[in-house]
Amino acid sequence: MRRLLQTVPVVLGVTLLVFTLIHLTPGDPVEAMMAGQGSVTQEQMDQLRRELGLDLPLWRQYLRFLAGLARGDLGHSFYYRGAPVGRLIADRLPATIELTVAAMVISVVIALPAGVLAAVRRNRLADRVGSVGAMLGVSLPDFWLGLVLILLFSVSLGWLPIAGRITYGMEPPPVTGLYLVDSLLAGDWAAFGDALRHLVLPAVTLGTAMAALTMRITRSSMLEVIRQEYITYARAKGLSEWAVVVRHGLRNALIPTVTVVSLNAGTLLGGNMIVETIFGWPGLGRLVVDSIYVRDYPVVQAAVFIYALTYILMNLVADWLYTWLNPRVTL
Amino acid sequence: MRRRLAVVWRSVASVSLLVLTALTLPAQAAAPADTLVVGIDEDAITLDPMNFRHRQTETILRNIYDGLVTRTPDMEIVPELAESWEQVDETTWIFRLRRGVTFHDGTPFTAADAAYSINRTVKEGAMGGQTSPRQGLLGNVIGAEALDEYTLKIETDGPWPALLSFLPFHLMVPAATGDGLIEQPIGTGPFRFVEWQRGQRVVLERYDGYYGGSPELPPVGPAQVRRVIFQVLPEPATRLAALRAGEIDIMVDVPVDQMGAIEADPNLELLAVNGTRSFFMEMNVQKPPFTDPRVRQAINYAVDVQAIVDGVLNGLATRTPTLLSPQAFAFDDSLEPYPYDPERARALLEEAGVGRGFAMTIDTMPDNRSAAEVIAFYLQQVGIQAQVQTWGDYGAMIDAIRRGDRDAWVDSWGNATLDPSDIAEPKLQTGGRGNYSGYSNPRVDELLALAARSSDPAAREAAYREVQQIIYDEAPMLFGWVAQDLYAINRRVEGWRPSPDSRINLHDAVKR
Amino acid sequence: MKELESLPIREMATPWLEVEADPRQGEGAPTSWRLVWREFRKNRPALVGAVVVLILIGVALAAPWIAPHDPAQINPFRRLQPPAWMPGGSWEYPLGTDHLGRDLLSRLIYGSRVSLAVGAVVVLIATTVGVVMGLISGYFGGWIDTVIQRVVEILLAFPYLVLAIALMGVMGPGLVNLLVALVYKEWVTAARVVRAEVLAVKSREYVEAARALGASGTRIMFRHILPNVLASAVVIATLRVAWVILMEASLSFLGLGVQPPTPSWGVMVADGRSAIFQQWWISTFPGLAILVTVLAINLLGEGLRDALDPRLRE
Repeated sequence: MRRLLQTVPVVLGVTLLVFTLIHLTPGDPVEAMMAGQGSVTQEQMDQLRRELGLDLPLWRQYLRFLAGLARGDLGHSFYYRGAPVGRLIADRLPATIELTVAAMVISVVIALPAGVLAAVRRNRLADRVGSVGAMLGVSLPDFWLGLVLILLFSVSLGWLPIAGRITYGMEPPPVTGLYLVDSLLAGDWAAFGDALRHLVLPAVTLGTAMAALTMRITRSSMLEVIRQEYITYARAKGLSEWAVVVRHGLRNALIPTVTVVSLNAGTLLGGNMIVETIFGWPGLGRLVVDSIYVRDYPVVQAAVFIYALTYILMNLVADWLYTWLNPRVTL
Repeated sequence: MRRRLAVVWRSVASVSLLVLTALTLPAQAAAPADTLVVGIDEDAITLDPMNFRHRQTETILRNIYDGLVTRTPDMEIVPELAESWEQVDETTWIFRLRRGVTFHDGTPFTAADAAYSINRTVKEGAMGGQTSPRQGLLGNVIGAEALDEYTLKIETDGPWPALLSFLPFHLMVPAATGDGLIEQPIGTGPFRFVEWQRGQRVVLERYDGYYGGSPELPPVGPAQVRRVIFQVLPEPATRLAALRAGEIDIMVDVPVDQMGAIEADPNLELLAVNGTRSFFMEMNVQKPPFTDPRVRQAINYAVDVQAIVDGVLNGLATRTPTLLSPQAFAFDDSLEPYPYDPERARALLEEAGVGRGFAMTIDTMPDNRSAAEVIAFYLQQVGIQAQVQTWGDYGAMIDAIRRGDRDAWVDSWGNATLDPSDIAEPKLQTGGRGNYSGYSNPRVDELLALAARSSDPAAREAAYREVQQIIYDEAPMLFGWVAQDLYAINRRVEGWRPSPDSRINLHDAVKR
Repeated sequence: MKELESLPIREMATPWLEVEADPRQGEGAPTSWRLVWREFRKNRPALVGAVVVLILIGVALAAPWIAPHDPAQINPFRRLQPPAWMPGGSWEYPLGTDHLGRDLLSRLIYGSRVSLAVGAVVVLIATTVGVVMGLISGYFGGWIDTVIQRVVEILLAFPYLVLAIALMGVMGPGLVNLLVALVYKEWVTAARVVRAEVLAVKSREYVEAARALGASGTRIMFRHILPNVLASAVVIATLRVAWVILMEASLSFLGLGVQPPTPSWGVMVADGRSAIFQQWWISTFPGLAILVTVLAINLLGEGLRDALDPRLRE
C-alpha cells in the first residue's frame, strides 16, 4: 500500500515533465495540421487554436489535462483529427505489449542456458564464448540488427514475414488485442502461427539487447547457488554434474532471473519505437514519436502517462513475483 | 517454493512446445494475386475526406472517393463525376453531373451530394461546428448549390481561374452520412472501404457497381483487382525488403540510394515520374550578408547544381531557373538556370565587400542532407565557410527559421496543381505562409495579386513571367530542381503508372 | 538469496549493463588494487577488450595522421566505390566510398573521435553527477533522499527515447545539446548504485567511529565513503560508455545524431541503411566499428566488475 502511494508523486511528476517538455518544444501543432498546399489564413489558424484550447494559459491547459486524467478521459488528438486518444492508445498498446513480452521470452531463451553454462564452466572457454555471444546482441544498433535480420530471414531465405503483426484476413476475434492470446482463445492455429511468425524477427531484435543482462544475472546467481552446501551435498550423493546443475542449481538461480526480466519489461517498453518503425509494427512507440514531431500534445502526454503507469505496474509485478517465488522474503 | 517453480517450469515448457508447433505450420505465401499491396510510408490520419491536409491520407481516400474532375497522367484536367462544365460568368460555374453513378451503399449520386461536399469544405463550421482544413484548397469558392438533380452551381467571391486545378483534390461524399465519415467512409470510387487497422494497414475491396471512372482514362469499368491493401512501412529499407520478398507490390517513396538495387533485381521495376515539388536553398534575406542580392547571386553561381542533380539525385531531377517547375503554367522558358561559375561568384562576393568569405550554417532535414553537404562543399570552394546543420524535427527547424536568426536552409515546396499561385504566393509574397526567407518586393506582391484575381490567362501568364524575371535577378534562394518521384513495383503489376501529383490510382492496376 | 537488498532490483535503470551493489564488498579493508589486477589479468576476454579500447583511443587521437584522405572531401567521380577486394574497388579507398564519394576508411577513423568522445564526455559528466547525487541521497537520507529518489523514479518511468527526442526538440540540434539530452537521464544509474552502496557502507564500524570522533559530514563522505563506492562507479562508467554510444546511434536513426562534417558512426550507419541492399559497405563498416567498440568496452567493464567482486574470487 505504501508502495502504491509512493507512485502518485512519480506519476504526477511524469505528467508535469512531459507536459512541460512538449509545450516548450518550438513548433506549432496547428501548423502541422495545416501543412500542405492551398492557402490558410491567420484567422483560420487562430480559430483552430481556440477550438483546441491552445489559447489558454499553460497552467490551465495542464489542469485540464489532469482533470481529464482523473475522469479517465485522455482527450482528443489534434493531428488525428479529434480521434479519442484513449482509443488510439488502446489500438496500439496490445501490439507493444505483445512485442515486449516476446522479447523478454527470447532474451531468457538465449540467456538462461548461456548463463548456466557460463557459471558451471566458469572462466573456461564455454563461459567466455557464452559471455561474448550474449554481449554481441547488445553491441549492435538495434535498427541495423533488425535490417540485417530482415535481409537474411525474409529476403534471402524467405522464412519469415516482414511487415506488421499478422497477415490480412487472419486476425482472430478481438478479446485482449494480443493476437497470440486471442487466436488461442479462438482455437485458430493458423492465426496463431501467422502472428507468431510476424513476431519472431522484431522480438529477436529487441530481445537480444536484453540477453546480455539476463545472462549476467543467471550466471552470477548460479555461481552463488553452486557454492552452497546442499549442492555440495547433492554432488557428494553421487548425482551427475548436470543433474545437480539442473535439478538444484538452476531452480534456485531462476528466481533472480525471473525477477530481473520482469523488472526490465518497463524499460524495454520505452525502447521499442525503433524496432516498431523498422518492422512496421503498429505499436505505441511509433505513435509517440510521430506525435512528438507533429506536436500532438494530447497523444504524447497520454502515451507517456500510460508508459509510466505500465512501468510502475511492471515493477510491482516484479516485486510480487519475487516474493511469490521466494516466500521467505517479505517486502 | 518447489511447487511454484514447477509452475514456472511447466509454463515455460508448454509455451516452447506451442511455439515450435506453430513455427512448423506452412508459411503464408506472398500477397495473393487478386490482392494488390501498396507499401506506404505513413498511415492515414483520418478517413474523413474533408478533414485532412496529408498526402498519404489523400492517396488512400482518392481510391474510395471520386472527384468532379480528375487529372490524366499528363496532368490534364478531365471529367470524372462531372460530365461537362462551363463558366457562365466571372464568378459562376455550372457542372453537369454524370447519371447512373451510385455510392457504395447503393444510393445514387446527385447534385445535392456534390453541393453538400463542396459546402462542407468551404463553409465556416460546416463540419459539425469545425471548419474544414481544406477550405484553403477552394479558397475563393463561397458555396455550391444543386440546380436540379444533375446540375451543380459553384460560386466564387471573384474571378478565380484556378478553380479547375484545385477541384481534383475535392472528394464527393453522400449528403446523408453527415459527420459519420470517419468510421465508415462511403464514396463513389472504384474501391469500397473495408477496414482500417491503425498504424498497420487500410483495406479496400473492389466496388462492383462502379460507373467506370473518367471516360478519358480507359479502361472504363470496375477495378481490376479484388482487394487493395495499403500497408504502412515507415522505414524505406524495410519497404524495399518487403517488395523484394513479395509482401508488397508497389513501393512509394524510393530513396535515390536504392535505385541500383532495384535496377539490378529482374523482378522489380523502377518507375520515375516528374514530381511537382520544387527544391531550393532559401536564404534569410533580412540578415547580412544575404541582404545583398550580389551575395545571393554569387551563391547561385558558386554551386554546381547540375552536379547535385547528377551526383546526389542520380540525374532524376530537372533543374529550375527559378522555383517554378518547367511543367507549371506560365513557366518562363527564356530563363536559363544560373551557370556554374566560381570566378564570377568570387568577383560578386568581392564587389559586395565579403571577398574574404563569411561563416554560414545551412539547415536541413535528413532527407536533404546530402544535397546540403554538397552545397556547403561548393560554397567552401569560393571561400564561404559553410557548414550543415541537420534537424530531426521539421517543426522545430521551421520555428527557428521563422525567428529570423538562421542563415539558409534546404527545403522544398509542393505545387501539385502546377498553377504558380500555389507556390509563388506562399513563398514569395510579403508575409506569405511559407515565405520564411523574409523576401519582400512590392512589385512582386502586386503582380501576384493581379494574377490571382485575373480571369484572363494571357494577363496571368504575363504577370507570372515578370515575377520569374524579378526573382531570378534578386535570387532570394539558391534555385534548385524539381525532383522526380520514384516508385518501385513488382513486375507482376501491370496497368499502373505513377502520377505527377503523387496520387496512386489503382483503378486500372492488375497483378499477373 | 538471503537479503533482498542485495538484489539489483531498483537499479535496473537500464537493462543490460547493470552493476550489482554488493553489501559485502568493502567489508574490512577497501579492495586492494593489486588483487584486482591479478584477477583481471586472468580474464582473457577482458584483456582483449582493454587492448582494443586502447587501440581505438589511439586511432581517435592519431586520426589526422593515419586517415588516408580528408573525410569530408566530396568527389562526384568516385561515388559508391566498393571496398578494395571487390571488383571495381581500389586500394586507394580500402573500404570503398560513400554516396558522395568520400573515403569510408577516413570517415570511420574520424568518426571514432566523435563516437568515443560522446560516450566518454556524457559518461564522465553523468557519473560525476550521479555519484554526488547518490552520496547526498544515501548519506543524508530523510527528505533529501526522498526528493532525489522521486526524481530518479520519474526519469526511470519516462520512456528514455521520448525524453531524448523531446529534449532535443526543446533545445534544438547540435553536439552540445545532444550531450545534454544524453546526460539528462544517464546520471540516474550511477546515483542509484552509489546510494545503495553508501547505505551499506554507512553502517560500518569505521564510519561510525569517524562520526564518533566528531568528523564532519562532508569529511566522512569524501574521506571514508567515496573511496568505497568509487570502484563501483568506475565499473558502471565503463559499461555506460558502451550504452551511450548505442544510444547515440539510436538517436541517429531518428535524425538526431552528431552531424557532419564529422559524423558519428551512428549517423553513418543510419545514413547508409537505405543502400544496404547494394552498397552494403556504407552502413556495414560503421556498424562493425560500433559492434567492436561496444563489445570491447563491455568486456573490459565486465572484467573489471568480476575482478572487483570479492564474491566471485576463489
